[in-house]
This record gives sequence, C-alpha cells and structure tokens, in this order.
Amino acid sequence: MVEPGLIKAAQAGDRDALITLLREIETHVYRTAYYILNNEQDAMDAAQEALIRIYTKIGSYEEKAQFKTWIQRIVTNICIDKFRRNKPTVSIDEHELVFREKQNVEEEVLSAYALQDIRSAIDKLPEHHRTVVVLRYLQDFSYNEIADSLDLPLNTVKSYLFRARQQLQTLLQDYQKGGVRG
Amino acid sequence: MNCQEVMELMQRQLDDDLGDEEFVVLNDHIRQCPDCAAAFERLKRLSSDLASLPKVTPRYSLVDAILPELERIDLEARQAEHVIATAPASDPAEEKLGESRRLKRSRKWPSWSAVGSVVAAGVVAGLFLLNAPGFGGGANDKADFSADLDHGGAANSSAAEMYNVEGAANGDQAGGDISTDVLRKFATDNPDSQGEEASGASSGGSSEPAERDTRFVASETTNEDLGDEPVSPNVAIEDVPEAPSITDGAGTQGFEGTPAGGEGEASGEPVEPIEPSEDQAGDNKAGPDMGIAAAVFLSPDGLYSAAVDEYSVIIASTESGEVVHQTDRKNGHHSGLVWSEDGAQLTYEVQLDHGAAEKYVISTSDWTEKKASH
Repeated sequence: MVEPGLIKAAQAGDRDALITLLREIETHVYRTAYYILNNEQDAMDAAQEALIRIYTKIGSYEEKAQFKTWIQRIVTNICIDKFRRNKPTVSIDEHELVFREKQNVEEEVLSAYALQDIRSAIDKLPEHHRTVVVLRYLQDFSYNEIADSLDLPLNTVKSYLFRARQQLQTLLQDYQKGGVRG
Repeated sequence: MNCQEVMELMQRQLDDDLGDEEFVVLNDHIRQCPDCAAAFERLKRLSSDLASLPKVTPRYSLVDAILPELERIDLEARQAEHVIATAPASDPAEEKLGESRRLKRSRKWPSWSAVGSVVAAGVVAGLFLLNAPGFGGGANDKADFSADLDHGGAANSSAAEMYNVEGAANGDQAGGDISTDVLRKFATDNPDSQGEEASGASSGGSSEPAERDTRFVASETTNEDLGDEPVSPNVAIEDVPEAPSITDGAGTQGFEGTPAGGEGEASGEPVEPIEPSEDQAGDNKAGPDMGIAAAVFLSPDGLYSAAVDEYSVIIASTESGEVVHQTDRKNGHHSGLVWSEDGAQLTYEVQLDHGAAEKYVISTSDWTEKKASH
C-alpha cells in the first residue's frame, strides 16, 4: 500500500518521491506481468515499460481511483497490448465444462496440483481470463478492484473469473490423469 | 436450486462474496448433493493453490534499470518546457531561479531534431511578437538569454541577437535562436518591422509595430491548424497563473506572445514572412513525443488567448495578460481548441483514456462551460 502523501508529493513534482514510489510498487507490477506473460524476460520488459509509463503519467492519476488499480491497469494494458502473442488458448465453452466436470467427479485427487502445471494451465487461458485470475490471486483484488483495473463491468469480471477457474480445473485434471503437459 | 446455480454460489463463496442467506442455501445443497460437494472441494483446492502461487520478485531492481531512461525523459521534458514559454516570470526571485535553470539547460542540447522544432516554433513566435500590438517593454533583463542553438549551419549573428525573439517574448523559459537566413528573409520581406525596431523592443524600449494584418492572420493560422494539430498533454504551461502579477511595465504582455505553433506546423500560407519556417518545419519534424506543442489560440476578436495546460484550458486576456478563466481539470488529452467566429465561444475536446472524446464549449460572456454533443 503506497502512502497517499508519497503519491501527492510525486504528483507535485518531487522526483525523489516518485522514484521511491516506483520502488515500492515495482514488485507488484512485475508479479502481474510475470503471471500474465509466463516468461521472466518478457515480464521484466513489460514491468519496466509500465514503471516508465507511471513515471511520466503520474500527473494524470486522480484520487477517485485507487492507486493500486491505476497501476494494475497500466501494467495489464501493456501486457495485453504490447506482448500479445499469437499462441493458441483453449476455448471456454461452459456447456462442455459442466459436462466434463460431472464425469470427473469421482476421480478426485486431493493432492495439490504441481506448480508447473498450474502455471502452464494459467498460460492457456485467454488473456482476459488470465488477467482476471492474476489480479484476483496475485494482487488479492476484489471483483470491484479488478473491474476498475480492467475497465470491465462487474458481471464480466465474475464471469471471466468463474469460467477461468472451471477451465483451470479441467486442464489440471487432464495433466494429472494423462501427464500430458503443455 | 439446481446444481448449475449452486456452482455460481460456490464460486462466489471462494471470493467471500456470499451473503448469509446464500451461504445457507449453498450448504444445504451441498449436504444433499455429493456431486456438488465434491466439485466444491475441488474448487476450494484450486483456489488455495492459486492463492499460494509463489510471490515472485524481479531478479534485479527494475527502477535502477530504468533510471537512465527516466533521466532521458526528464531531459526531453525540460527541453520542451524550455521552448514553450508562456507568461514572463513575475517576481525577481522566480526570475533568478529561472535564470539558473536556463543556464543549466542551455548547456545540454543533445537532440538536434528538437532544436529544429525549437527554431521553427521560435520563428513563428518571433514573427508574431514583432508584429503584435501592445508588445513593448517587458523585455528588460531577460533579453540577453538565448540558448546556444545554431541551426542548419547558419551561424548566430547579430541579426539573431537583435531579434532575440524568445528572450523578449517569453521571459524565463523559451529558448532557441533563429536561423539567420530566416531572419534575413523576414527582414527583407517586412520592411515595416526593421531590426532596429525589434532590438528596441527587446532591450526594453517601447515599440509599436501594431500591424493588425499580421496579427489577424496569425490567429487565423492557428485556427486553421486546429483540426489535426496534436497538442501534447505533456507540455505544462507553467507560470500562467502568475501572469497577472506582472507589473514591471510589461502589462500588455499576456501569453499571446507564444503561438508556438506546435509540431512545427504552425506556418500558414497566408503569411508571407512565415514561409521560411515552413521549410524549417519540413526538415525537422518533431515526433509526437517531443512534447513541443503548446499552441496559443487567439480569439478572432483579439480579446483572449487560450492554451492547453495539460489537463485544463487556460484563457487569458490578451490586453492585460491576466488569466480570466481556467477550466476544471479533466483527465484526458486536451486538444482541438477552436474559437467561434465572433469570439463568444471556445470549443475544445478531451480525449479520454478509454478512447472516448468529449467536447466542451466555454462561453466567454460568463465563463460557463457546457458539454457539447458531437
């Protein structure tokens, strides 16, 4: 949580305050980029670009928005716009999900999923679904905060998050059963 | 409640979004429905797995890594600020400050394309100033500041010294010399405004070039260019609010003195003497991020000048230089300033972050502002 006083000072042109502020948020910015892009180098690049943008645009931040959602909006936009990669993501089809879920009910395995599996499953989600999951779990954002960050309606945020979780579950079960990763 | 509806309750429960009643409904259903109970267990497990994903941190400090880039950005911003002077400094303390800043700045001018647009903007500003009515005095001790710029191989010469446009016009901020070629051309094209006159002006004497024609054309020119002329939001028009306190004999100097043309395209075909600056502009296209773009828009009746100050529009009286109106801050890129023909209204646009644009109309009779429909 960044001190409001620090933000004000940075906006008033105190360069040291602005640099201090950037140091405080750099990890949060990086973390989001890392899980959206699933690649350390891309995440470093995107996070740096986001910090530069925050540096130059600090004057346009208005208090009516939360500072943390303003930051996350900047970094997620950069991740989505600039590093959009044309890689295949799975389609999210609700009917299929429900159907498969029922089939799998009895094959439940209670051990935790492997970290690598979770990461590669997240990486398979469509960008917006992935971004919502990252903000929910890595930034601990509420529905409203996610909606503010991504400029999406609240219901869309919920729908993305719920579908994303179902999709992740399906993918992870596939990994566990078949060992087919990717 | 069917299983699919319960699924939504499960999902929301994961996010602590259920009310007490909903929570009861969920629990009742789960007790009776083993499928849903199992599904909920799995969902909870997934959610806790996601919540315990490693909180990764960058390998090295990202801020340290971008510091050089930030310095470069600051430098560019200072250069832009240097060019876009607005109102002259008011009190002596501020002037001193300005002076020391100026000295620092004029030593580091790494970007020649920036210099090019400075020159182009300077020429326009200069032409305008020399001909603007009411220009006089006020130059006093600021007249000697001219950045060490040299453009296109044209050496600084006494001509440039004489005109010293930006020093006279812009108080402590503007910078940039003007190519002597341009100045000579200007001088020959304008027998009316001789070098003497100009130098008289910049050394503090009062001169009365008062050529209404030129002035009229100047405002027309800026209006013409409105359509596609980007006005960089990065350019803060500093010190404008201080303008009213100018009392040192330069009372007539408002910020009308800086029609800095923006992006080097302020040259308009109706003005003969401006022609040379068109060449300049052509050779030195400033990128949109150069930030050299603050344009001042003179109302057709000559009473007011308007300019964008980052997140608002400022209107000053051309006669007194006083800021008569400043719009509320709006979060978006301000542009498209257009005066109505009778000077009664000023329209401007705000480009919002998410792509939408809003149009506002200010009425000069009572300084009210209305949102205009497109």
